[in-house]
Amino acid sequence: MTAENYDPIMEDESSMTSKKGLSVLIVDDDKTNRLILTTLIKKLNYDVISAINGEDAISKFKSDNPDIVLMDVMMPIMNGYDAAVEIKRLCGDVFVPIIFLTAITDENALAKCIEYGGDDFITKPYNSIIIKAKIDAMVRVRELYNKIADSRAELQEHHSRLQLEHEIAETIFTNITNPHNLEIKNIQYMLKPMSITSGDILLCSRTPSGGMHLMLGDFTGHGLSAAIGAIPVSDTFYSLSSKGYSIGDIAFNINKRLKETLPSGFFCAASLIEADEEFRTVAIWNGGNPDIIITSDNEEPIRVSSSHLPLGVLDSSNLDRSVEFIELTHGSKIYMLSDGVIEAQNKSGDMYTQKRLDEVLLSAQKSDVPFEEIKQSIEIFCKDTQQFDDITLIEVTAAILENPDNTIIEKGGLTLPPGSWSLSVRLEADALRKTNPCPLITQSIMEIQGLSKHRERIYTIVSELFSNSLEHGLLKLSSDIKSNPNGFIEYYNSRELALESLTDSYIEITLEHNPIASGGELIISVKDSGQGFDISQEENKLAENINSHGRGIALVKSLCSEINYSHDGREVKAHYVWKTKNQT
Amino acid sequence: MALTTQLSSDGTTLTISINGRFDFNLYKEFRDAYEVGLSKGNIKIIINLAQTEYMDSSALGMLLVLKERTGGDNSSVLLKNCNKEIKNILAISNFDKLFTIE
Repeated sequence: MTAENYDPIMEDESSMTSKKGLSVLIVDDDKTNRLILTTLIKKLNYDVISAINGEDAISKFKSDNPDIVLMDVMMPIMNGYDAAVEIKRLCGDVFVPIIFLTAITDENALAKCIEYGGDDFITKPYNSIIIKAKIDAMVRVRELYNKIADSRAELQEHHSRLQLEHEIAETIFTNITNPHNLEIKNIQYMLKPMSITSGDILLCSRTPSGGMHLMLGDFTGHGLSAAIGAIPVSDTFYSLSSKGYSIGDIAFNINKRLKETLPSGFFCAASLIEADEEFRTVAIWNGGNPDIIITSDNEEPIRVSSSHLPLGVLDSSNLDRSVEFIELTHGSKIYMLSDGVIEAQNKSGDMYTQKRLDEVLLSAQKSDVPFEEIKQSIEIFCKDTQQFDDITLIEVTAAILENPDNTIIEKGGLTLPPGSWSLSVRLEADALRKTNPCPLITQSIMEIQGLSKHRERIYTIVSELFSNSLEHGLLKLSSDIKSNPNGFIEYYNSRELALESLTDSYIEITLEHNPIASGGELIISVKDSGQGFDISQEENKLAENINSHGRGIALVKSLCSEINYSHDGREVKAHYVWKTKNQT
Repeated sequence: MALTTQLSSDGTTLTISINGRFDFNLYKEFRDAYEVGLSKGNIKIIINLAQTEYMDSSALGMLLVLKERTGGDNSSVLLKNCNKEIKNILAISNFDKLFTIE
């Protein structure tokens, strides 16, 4: 065999395929050496590419992407060292082993091979067994390297996906708990989340009748899982609150949604409060959050402890909707908090504790800025420590709520051309015990006629007329009770009792709508099966209502064009007139 | 060990004791502990909280999962030796209504 005979094959070798699918780039300026190596390596079932010097090697490396490089050292135009440096640079993160081919036995020169990026060297003359062993070993290293590189890439991808998901969760959570809803002057709050997304959620909305709903929720866990839970919670909260449902109903429905959607073991400790427009009374539902504390001048603070299970634990049929009513005086303050406050730790691992909070709360009442004092106390306590849980504290001051900005309650809203329709609902004793039809009826009007800008007023009329029929017509409660101290509580207790024993009674609510010249007229009539009353005598009492209780029939009168009693006071008809746009 | 288990000599009761903080870090260990017990058939589970310093909401969640796993409302899981702190945590969340506490 002579070198010349093999030359044509050599120039064509890269077109050959091999079993392993790996290709080896042979770089040597000596034709005979190239021939010997090519023969040897082809026998090992690798593809072979060859180059005649360093520069040629770089261009073949670029065009043919070999998997392993066998590199001679001393070559014209560009030597092996410089070619190795350039090839390694071209490789970037990919591992392409370079094995130097050298006749040198000088140890320093061998070390130089490694220094310039070589991974191993083979000394001439070639021994086929050693070449095979070295190439096989390099293939193994290369596989290992690729496996690690793949895992790293995968890990990096997971990491960035996780980060993206966290960012999405954070955006969702921030959108949901957007503090624009909390820009009510009566409310001050602090939210100190533990991770980027908090497990605490704070929701606030104005009710159709001008009052306020506020909810503080504390989810098991933080981050993504909490953000997922926050979606059904806030959806349910805002949708029911804007329809005029009570907090008991809201708690009931949130519990139902969570129980249906969340895995077991995942729940939301929650406290909800509902205040009327004038902040005379507050209704409280507390399930799993620390005591809600209410302070008033010169009085012992009132505490409302959790009397319910957190939301998402019980089957919906077992959830207790009952709330506690507390009467407020002007300037009373309501404090709601998540357990992160009392469990906040200082440097020595001591907890903030309920006791400390009680003391700070009490002494802060002497200050002009009590909330700032309490906030500072907590912040100083857990300064420079790792936070274990989200910390949320809210202070609500009892003061007349300013007129809600329409954008909070209803953004725009469609009004349909005035039509002719009527709708009638009759509730027997059973239904009266279980449901408050006012939100549903108001909602039906919105569905049929639009009128969302009138929602608040219509709801007020429907609910005032309904509760008058129920509480005075059927249950025969006297609103005189309400003027006593603690009267509201007493009133609601007797209401509860009377409702329990109600039989053979009904209330019929009829809505009738007709177009009139300027727009539409809605007639709301409420009829009950009670004994009725002397209309003329009651007129005076009802007129007084506005002074002692703010709302009442007098308010309905001010909203309506006409209000008439008939059937000895058992039926009342209120006429509500609205104008179409071009009329206003 | 933060969590130890003990099977009664007659093999009918599994006691899981938790030392120190009962929180999310025990999630897998806690689940493995009762799953091993339950795989042996009908067994009564007692959670011994004598050495438990603190419980967070994830721990309450884990107890809830255990309760469901062992028959929901008919579950006979017993929480034993609760100190004042733990009793308080169970009371705030009203979990004392869901579990038998001794």
